[in-house]
Amino acid sequence: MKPSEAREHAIRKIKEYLERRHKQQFKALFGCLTINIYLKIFTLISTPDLCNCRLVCRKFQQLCDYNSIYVKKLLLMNAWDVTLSRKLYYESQDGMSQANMSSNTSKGFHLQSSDKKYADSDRPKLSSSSLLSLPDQKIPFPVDYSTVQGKQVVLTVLDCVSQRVEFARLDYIKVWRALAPIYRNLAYASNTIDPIAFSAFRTPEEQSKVLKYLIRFGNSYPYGTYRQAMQNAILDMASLFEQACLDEFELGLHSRNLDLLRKFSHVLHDFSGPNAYVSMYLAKQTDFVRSFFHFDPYSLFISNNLEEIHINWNILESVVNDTIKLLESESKFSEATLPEPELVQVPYAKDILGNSLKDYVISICEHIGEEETELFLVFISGFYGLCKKFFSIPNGPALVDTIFQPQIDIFISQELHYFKTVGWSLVDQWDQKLEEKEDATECFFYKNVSQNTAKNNFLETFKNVMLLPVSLFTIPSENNSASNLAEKAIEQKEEEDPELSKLDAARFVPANIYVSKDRLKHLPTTELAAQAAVLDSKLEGISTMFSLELALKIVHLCKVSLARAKVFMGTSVPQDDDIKGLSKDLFVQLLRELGQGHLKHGFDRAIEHLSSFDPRRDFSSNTVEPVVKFLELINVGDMIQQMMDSFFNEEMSPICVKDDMFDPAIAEKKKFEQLLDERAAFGLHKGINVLIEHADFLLETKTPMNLFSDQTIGSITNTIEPTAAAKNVVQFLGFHMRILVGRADHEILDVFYKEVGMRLFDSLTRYIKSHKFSVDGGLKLLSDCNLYYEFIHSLHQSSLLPYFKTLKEIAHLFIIDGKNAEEIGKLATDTSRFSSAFHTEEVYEILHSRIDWLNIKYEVDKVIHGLACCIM
Amino acid sequence: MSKIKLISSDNEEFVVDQLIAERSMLIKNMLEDVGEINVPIPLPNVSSNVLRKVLEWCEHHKNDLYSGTEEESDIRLKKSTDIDEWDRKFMAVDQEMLFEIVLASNYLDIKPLLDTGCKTVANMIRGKSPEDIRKTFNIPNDFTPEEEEQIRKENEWAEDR
Repeated sequence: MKPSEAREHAIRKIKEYLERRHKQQFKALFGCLTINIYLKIFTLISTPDLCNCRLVCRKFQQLCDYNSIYVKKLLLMNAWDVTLSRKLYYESQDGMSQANMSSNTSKGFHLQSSDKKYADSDRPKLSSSSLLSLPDQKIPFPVDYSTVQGKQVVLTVLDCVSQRVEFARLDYIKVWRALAPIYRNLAYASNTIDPIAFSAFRTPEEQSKVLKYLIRFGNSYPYGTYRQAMQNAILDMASLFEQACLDEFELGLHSRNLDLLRKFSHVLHDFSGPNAYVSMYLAKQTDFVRSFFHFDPYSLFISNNLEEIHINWNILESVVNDTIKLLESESKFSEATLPEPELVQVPYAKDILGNSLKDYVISICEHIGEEETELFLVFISGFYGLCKKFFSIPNGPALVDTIFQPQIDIFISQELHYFKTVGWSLVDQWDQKLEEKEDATECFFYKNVSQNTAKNNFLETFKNVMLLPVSLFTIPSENNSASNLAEKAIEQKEEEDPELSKLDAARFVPANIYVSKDRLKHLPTTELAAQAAVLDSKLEGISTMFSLELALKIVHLCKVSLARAKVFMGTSVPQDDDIKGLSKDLFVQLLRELGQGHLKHGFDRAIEHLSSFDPRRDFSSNTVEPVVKFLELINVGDMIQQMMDSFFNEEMSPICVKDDMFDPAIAEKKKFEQLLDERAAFGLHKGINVLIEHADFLLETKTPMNLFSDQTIGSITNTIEPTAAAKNVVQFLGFHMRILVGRADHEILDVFYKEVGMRLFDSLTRYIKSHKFSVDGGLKLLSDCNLYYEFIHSLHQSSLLPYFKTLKEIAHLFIIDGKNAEEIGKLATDTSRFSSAFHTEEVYEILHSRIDWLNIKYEVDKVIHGLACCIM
Repeated sequence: MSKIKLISSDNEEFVVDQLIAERSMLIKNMLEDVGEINVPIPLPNVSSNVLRKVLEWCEHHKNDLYSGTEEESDIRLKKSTDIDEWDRKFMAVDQEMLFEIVLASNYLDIKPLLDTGCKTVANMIRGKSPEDIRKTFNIPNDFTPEEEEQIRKENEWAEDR
């Protein structure tokens, strides 16, 4: 049953579907075909053929007068507003409805009814009779093109369409009356003088409008879809007209005739849009700009007597000023002549002027060549700085972008590459010199003068100098003769005073900076140079490991690179980000050159000296030179770190997020500090080893075998004083401790002193255990321990004092006569004396050092064990 | 490939591929609505000779792609005012058959065929006088002489000069 039911359902549905379709078509039948088919056919034939069809029969006449046919034609002419016509139609319907209601309401009053009838004449009703036969007076008369009224009808006909469906045919007839004769006349014309479109309409503005109307009229296929030749002829005429206008426009450009330019630019803009005349305008301006600028890359560079190349910034500045003048004059010109000046102004700035200057920059860069990186960097940065003048004028940023777009990425990579290359070469040169100097005799020069003051003064001056902006280029205001005289005077003065050359600030002003010599003497860097010279002389001891001058050179090199890069800031966010990235890369590179490149080598070299130093020998100067050098190096490392802190705060803080561990500049800074800390700690460890090993050596070599075990009766009468060994050790260590003052920070000194003290304590403990002591020997040891205690006290390390006080207590164990063994035992078990350093077992072990230990052992054991038995 | 059975007004049966039958939007929409059930489709508006002719056209154009929209039809009418050779020969039939084909294509909603038919009729009208048009389509003149003169006067605006 189910399949049968579904089949029956489907059959019934199909029948209903087809029955509905059949009724639709039957209702639409109008003679042989349906109305919609007839209307489709009639939209395909020409207007004259359409009129012929009106004469065939009554039905055809009705069909040919359907307004929908003419709405479609007006649509093709782009003269029909669908939205507006729909709105007007609905308003018309509402009006009719209200009129009917009013009429019904006022049916009983004759006068009011009469008024309504009069009012109804304003809303014409469309009856079947009016469709069949329109009154004669509603069809417009032919247009007389020789009259002002006639021409006005033509010039406004497509803008005066009523947009009402019921009047579409009438509107179309008006358009046809106005345009069809001109259309045919122009389509069959053999020249551009006789046609009505040109002879009756004489001004370019009128001709433009007429031609546009004719083209739109032709788009509606007025003569059917099979006669495109006419429309093609119209389009050809339009092209001729446009070309004639362009010729006039070009003439206006040549003769600088503002009226002619204004007239025809507006005609062309209205007729065919801006492309044609804008292209011509820009082509002419391109030729003009090329003839205006005579860029010569060779004249830009000046060589002085020293064969150094400098940039003639005056030339570049005049190029910038000339460009601004061109932009301003072009802006005024296009404002005065063109309908939309910005269509010309933007490509003029961006493509014409921008490309001219871009080519100039490219030719200069090619002239500089790939070898002169520094000159390239100075030029690009300096010229960009000059071009920032463009930012204050319209379309200026686009101009700058065009000029420098090919160069900025190259600049960024080259700036970093240059700083890397020059910085590392400075480091390598210094290392190479050092290798040569290693063959020479090293001479240690020590000045026991506090350097804290010099260091602080230097750092203060360093900060002040860092705050100064770097002048990438300065145009001297003096005339040449005055400048030459000044230079001669300075040179003569330099020859007279050789010392002055040491403080010459030129060492701190890179060669690429153009600064007149008289100004050079007044730069604040002179003070920095003086400070550096003073500090350098005090740091002569580590001249083989570190160069402050080298550090300053690298810092200043980085400073100059950053200053050049900053010129590009403030233009756009992506460019700012790129420049910030470059700045961070430069800072990272600076830290690597100073840290891993220079300081690390110095520390490694110092540590190597420490490692290769033989502490177990006598030296005439009684000085451990590598320790002194290393400690000075720590001091310098600390100073460099402070310099980098100042540099970071000044240059990097504005562009780094504080405490962002992923920021490369901050990460590298921490790595730099870590490098210094690691090297300092390692070197200190080595240094302490050297000092203590030498102290052990002194104790070993200065102590005769039986010094403390001699039992000669006569020795008691001798004066009690410290042994030679103790004196040597204290003198040796004391000397090196004192020379550290002023060379290292207080914190470093404290760490160093504590470590040395503890290591000395351990050495002395082993020393005591390795000797045998008589009562006299004990007295000597006590003198030594007193000397050691006073030495430690002089270091102001209170935490070390208990240990050395304990050593004195140890000495007391030896000065008690063997006959009082019981007292010795009691003293050994007095834990309050040794609690901070020794346990009872250790004290018992030390007692083995008594020369009479075997004799008193039983008694001492009895005391110790006796106490134990009592406790048990 | 499924087969569709079409029945003309004189009860003649035509069995065709569904692809060919669906050139007609009417049939295509109806099948989508009813479902894929093998049911004969009666076409009471179309006689067998006209249906045979229409199906011949559908067979030839079975691989053409079109959506059946008004915009597409307008584009087709504007883009090419010529009728291709095969279609021209297909439309070279007597006037009665031509009108039947046009009516059938309108009923079955085969827009490309309808457009081609309208172009053919338009070409028959092009450039002819009213009397020639009457002769071509065998239309009697039901105007009075006065009415005809009145209309001719109204038509002056469109005369070629």
